[in-house]
Amino acid sequence: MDGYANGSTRTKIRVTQLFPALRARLLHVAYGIATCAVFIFFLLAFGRHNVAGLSAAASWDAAVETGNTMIAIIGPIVAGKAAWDISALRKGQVFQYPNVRSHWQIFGRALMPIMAWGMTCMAVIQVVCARYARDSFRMADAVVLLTAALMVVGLALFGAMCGMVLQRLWATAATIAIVFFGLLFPSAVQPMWLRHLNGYEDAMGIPNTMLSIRAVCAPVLVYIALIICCITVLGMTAQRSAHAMNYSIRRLVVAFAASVALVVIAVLLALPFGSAPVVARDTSTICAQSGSTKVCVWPEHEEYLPQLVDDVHKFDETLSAAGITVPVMVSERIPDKATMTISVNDLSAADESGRQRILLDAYTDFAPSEIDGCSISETLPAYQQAIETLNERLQAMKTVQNLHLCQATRRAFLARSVMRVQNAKHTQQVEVSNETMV
Amino acid sequence: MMCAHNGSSFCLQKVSYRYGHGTRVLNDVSAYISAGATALVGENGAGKTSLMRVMASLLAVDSGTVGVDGVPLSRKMIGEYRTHIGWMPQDIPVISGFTVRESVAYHAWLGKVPRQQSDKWVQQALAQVHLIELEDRKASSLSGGQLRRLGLAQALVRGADWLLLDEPTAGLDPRQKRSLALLLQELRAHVNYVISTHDFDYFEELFDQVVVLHEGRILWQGSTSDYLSIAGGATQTAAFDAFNAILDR
Repeated sequence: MDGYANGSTRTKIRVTQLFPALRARLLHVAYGIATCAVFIFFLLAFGRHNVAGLSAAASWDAAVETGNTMIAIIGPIVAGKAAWDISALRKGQVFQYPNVRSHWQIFGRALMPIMAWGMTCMAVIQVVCARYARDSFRMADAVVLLTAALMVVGLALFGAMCGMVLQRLWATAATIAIVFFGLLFPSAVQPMWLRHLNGYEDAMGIPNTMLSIRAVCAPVLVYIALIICCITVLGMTAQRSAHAMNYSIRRLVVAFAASVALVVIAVLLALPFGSAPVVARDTSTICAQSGSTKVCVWPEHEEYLPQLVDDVHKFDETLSAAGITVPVMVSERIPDKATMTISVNDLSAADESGRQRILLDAYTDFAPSEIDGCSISETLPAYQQAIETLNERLQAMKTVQNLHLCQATRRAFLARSVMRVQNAKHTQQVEVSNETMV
Repeated sequence: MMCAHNGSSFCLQKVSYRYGHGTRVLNDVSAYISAGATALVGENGAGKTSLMRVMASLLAVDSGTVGVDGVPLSRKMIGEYRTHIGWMPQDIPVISGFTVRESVAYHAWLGKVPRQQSDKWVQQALAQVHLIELEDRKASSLSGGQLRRLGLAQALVRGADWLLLDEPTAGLDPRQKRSLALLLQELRAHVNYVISTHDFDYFEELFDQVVVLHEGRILWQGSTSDYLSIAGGATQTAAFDAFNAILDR
């Protein structure tokens, strides 16, 4: 019965009065739906942004790296919710009761749901990305997947630690902000090795490279260190709240020292790498012959091989008509002296004239350092000038059949070896081996 | 003084405790509290809350031993020790977002009540403290008296043999005190309790034994009837008069 100010009464019967447990369950269900809706929204936005690139890359490296970028959304949610829930328990002085359950059981019960949610979200996104991978699954890919799980656990514990130390709203807001910026900010600053420590890599499989097992182990160590620190602080704060039977300061010192050591090792692992945690890819390719040029692609790009053979054949005809030496090999792998490097990632999205232009670009990159006495440097304007010059020459060769290139120009396009890994500091001498002829 | 581990009892032997800054609040306290309803009385600063917290295993003593029902309080046995006690602090904290039922159920989980029995024990605890009709209300919206009943339910739900209640009537108005007193009288038949209190109302109805604490030491311990006879019998102010008489000795 509800009483009103004017003295009248009215009986209201709510469904939740008939089913008392329903209200609590409805709240939980509503919360679950809301969090799933948030996740689905970001999954759709993620898919829209990344599917084309994943499809072109078609590698496990690209798939796991791209999948892990969702931690930028999942991580702050997990950490913030953990801070909110643990702070509620702290405010409710749960640890100041003579509980039969240990404080680890209390933390576990509070954190398991949000950890499970985070891990499920990351698993779903990885399953979505894995659909596009067509090469071999390697140890480095497994380490990246393990990192995702460790990140969820570590960030949840971090949130819990903040919840035990700060007031509820402050703990939640600070946790979300710290985690979000901690994941994204290092990618925008120097030194470059810093971005390889937090597990968030936004490089989607750079062509001709593969994930370095050394680099991807760095965030594993960092998150283990974070977990050790958080567990130690949580244990200390919970015990100080309750029956403080000889909490060991020595344990705290040992945990801190171990964490520092792990982070130092992680930094040493990440130090040699540039903007991406990659090394030159050395796995075998699948090849086909295009006239006098051998064309090789990574196994996951096998479906593009017929079209590429066709494009190279047309390109070789254009070069030959201009009296320019055609390359011995056109390959996605790091070139030796006679190999011109291409990337299917770039070619797959272009139309026919675009593909010819890309091949021209790759040829100029592979070619010697001069055109008509003008040097081709690594700077962009000189490079673009070289491309345009060559393009004009080749176009002119098509319409004016009897025009020959001057000797200097012909000499300028002799093959020259160029070995480099895009954006990686280390280069590797790669032997051509284990190639499969199609 | 040796504690006899026969039947349900609380035993403290030469318990001493001081706060970090050096103030000694309990000084060689030895007491044997047999089954029943016990009042722990004393002035402010006598050490009542500290003694209650020691008995609740929330404070680690500097020296001495504590045991309940033959189970000593030690690091190894702390889990088993705590299965024998239910604790109700002076200020009842509330877990944000929990309803009354959820709060009691959570404390059942904290007390390792078996899952199959949890719902039934939660229902019983809420019924015993007359909070069934409020079980779906948010705990944070309860009044002072209702909150005390919630705290009592949280202590009861564990099914422990002993309840330790720290000043349960503090801050309550006379009507709320009466209500709580009636509740405790009902519970007296089913569970042992130790209540620290300044409040001398309803003394004879609520307690079998009295322990008087002063400056960290036990001044007097005995039955309620002996206690009241110090002041000349069960008059309206006998409990208070007896307290004053003991302090004046």
